[in-house]
Amino acid sequence: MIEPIKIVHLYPKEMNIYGDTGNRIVIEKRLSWRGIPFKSYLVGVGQNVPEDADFVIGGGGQDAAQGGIEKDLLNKASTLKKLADSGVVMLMICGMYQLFGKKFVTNEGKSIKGLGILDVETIAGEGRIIGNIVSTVPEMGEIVGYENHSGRTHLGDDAQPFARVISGIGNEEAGELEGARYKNVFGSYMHGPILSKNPHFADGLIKLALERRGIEISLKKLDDSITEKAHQLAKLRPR
Amino acid sequence: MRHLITIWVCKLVYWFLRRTGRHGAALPGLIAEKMDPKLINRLQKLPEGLIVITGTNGKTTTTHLVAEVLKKMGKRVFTNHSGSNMTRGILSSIVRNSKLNGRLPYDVAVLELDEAYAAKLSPILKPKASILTNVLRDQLDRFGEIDYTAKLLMRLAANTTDLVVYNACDPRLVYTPKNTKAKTISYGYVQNLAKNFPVDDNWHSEKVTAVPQTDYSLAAISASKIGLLAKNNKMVVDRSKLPGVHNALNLSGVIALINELYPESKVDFGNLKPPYGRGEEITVGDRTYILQLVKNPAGFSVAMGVEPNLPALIIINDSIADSRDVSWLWDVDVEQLSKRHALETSGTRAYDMANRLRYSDIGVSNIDVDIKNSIQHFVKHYERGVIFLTYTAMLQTRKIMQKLSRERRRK
Repeated sequence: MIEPIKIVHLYPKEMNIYGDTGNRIVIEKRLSWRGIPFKSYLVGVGQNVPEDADFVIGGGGQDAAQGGIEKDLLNKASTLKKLADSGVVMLMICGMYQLFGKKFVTNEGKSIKGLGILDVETIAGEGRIIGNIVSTVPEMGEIVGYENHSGRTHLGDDAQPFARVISGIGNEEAGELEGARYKNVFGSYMHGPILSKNPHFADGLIKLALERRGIEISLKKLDDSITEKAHQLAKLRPR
Repeated sequence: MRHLITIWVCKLVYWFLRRTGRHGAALPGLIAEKMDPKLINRLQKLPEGLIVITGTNGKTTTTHLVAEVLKKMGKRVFTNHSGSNMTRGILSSIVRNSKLNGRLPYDVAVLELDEAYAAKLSPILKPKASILTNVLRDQLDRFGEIDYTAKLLMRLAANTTDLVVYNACDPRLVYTPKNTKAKTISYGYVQNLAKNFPVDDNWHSEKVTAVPQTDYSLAAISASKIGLLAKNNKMVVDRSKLPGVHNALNLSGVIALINELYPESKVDFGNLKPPYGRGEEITVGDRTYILQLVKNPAGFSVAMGVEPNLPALIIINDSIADSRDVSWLWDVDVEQLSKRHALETSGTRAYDMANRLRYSDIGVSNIDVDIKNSIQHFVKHYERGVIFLTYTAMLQTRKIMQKLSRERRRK
């Protein structure tokens, strides 16, 4: 009997306007279809992050919401850093990706301090970067999604990029990098939500989480035909 | 004089276009915009002025209902139809409907403007009255953020001269009245109806937001009637042709506006019908289908309650006018759809919708990106049904269904 996989969704209420909650739905379903037990925790302002989490996910919110959680996130900093260092799988999209970096400078010039788990810095730029995006991740293949951000994110020396952009912009106009990775922490600008049409990536994350727990199990193949078709068609859509 | 010349030139262009077999409204509108952008001012100078309606959801229905009620009251109403809610569309309509002596033969104008245009044009338009329906997540790929959208609505309120009617149960509109000299009147619903109207702030929480007391408050909703507390007077209004709880709220805003602008009026608010695509019924032979426009999570989640057991066809397109981004489908509470007898999906993002349903363990019996094929399949298999669709899908679907309907009649 496997102990339930613990999925922590950070700020589901504050950081929720771009559909990234779908990432939680996808992880939950892909576990449950395979009979792997799980338990989800919705962790908002003032609530604690369970120290034995297997998955931590977070999404995009409005710039104002980002300022609103800044202080609370710093209260959670030591737990989240410990989890990240120990290889817990984390998927942070857009606003939460920025806050997992060192800092985020808003359009008004205000600097919001981030967790510094990812060695990246973000500065809000002229105009938003909006549109369909396709990128490729080594050993995982193509990832499709949608980006909508004003921040330009620059990778520091210690950061690994998450993906390489095939079409779209990604982190910043200069270069062709998308997102960042540290151990099993993934930061990305890709909505869609990212796991919804990229089942190979979703399963990749699930494998990482199970391996870390020492659970040896080969993931049962699912009928992803509808999902794959949605992935293929998304690649053909205009920017 | 400038007005007059613009009108003549544009009318000439119209005449020329028609003679050469074209129906473009864009070119005369463009010319009018270049020659005389202030032509739009004529609307506020009509005897009973201009009413502007904006907000994320419900503006087309609200505009249509206000115009219908004013017509019932015997007024000549200038109004724009959805899709032409931008400057050029309005200008071209002004030019087309002006007399050769430049007179615009209407008593009152009712305009639907999207949030950005409402903000941009309101300092010029100076409307007499406005209705702010709500600020919900929609078109984020265009406006970026919801809080920004709320600011756009505030600008319209600030430039309205006599009356601002606003949905105070929307958490982003609670503060509206402060920045305007116009009289402000709120509408909304009583606390125990709040669960029917999801707002973005409590989207992923169990919480139901506490709603403020409003001047016009929806107190009871049934399929055929609404109960309204209008400044504490009870009103019961027939709404049997306006399906969905969202339309009950739209109707409340309309009643608030008309009662405040025309307190002596005894107009009957019953029997009003929705504009096309917003709960409109379309028949093909002896078969009837309801078309329900969907464009954001809150709107879709509420609209799902329309005829909750009938088969449904969901058509999701991703043109600019629909929203290129379809991430929003993941914030729709799709579980309600599992009660339906059958589900089919179509549109450029047919597979995205089917995929969304897959992840809620809801099966789909037909997936086809081709809208025409899908509609033929749906009409063939089901005598009645609801078609949920995005904006461009609605335009295509209406054409296809009208054609099907004509073909049936010929047989």
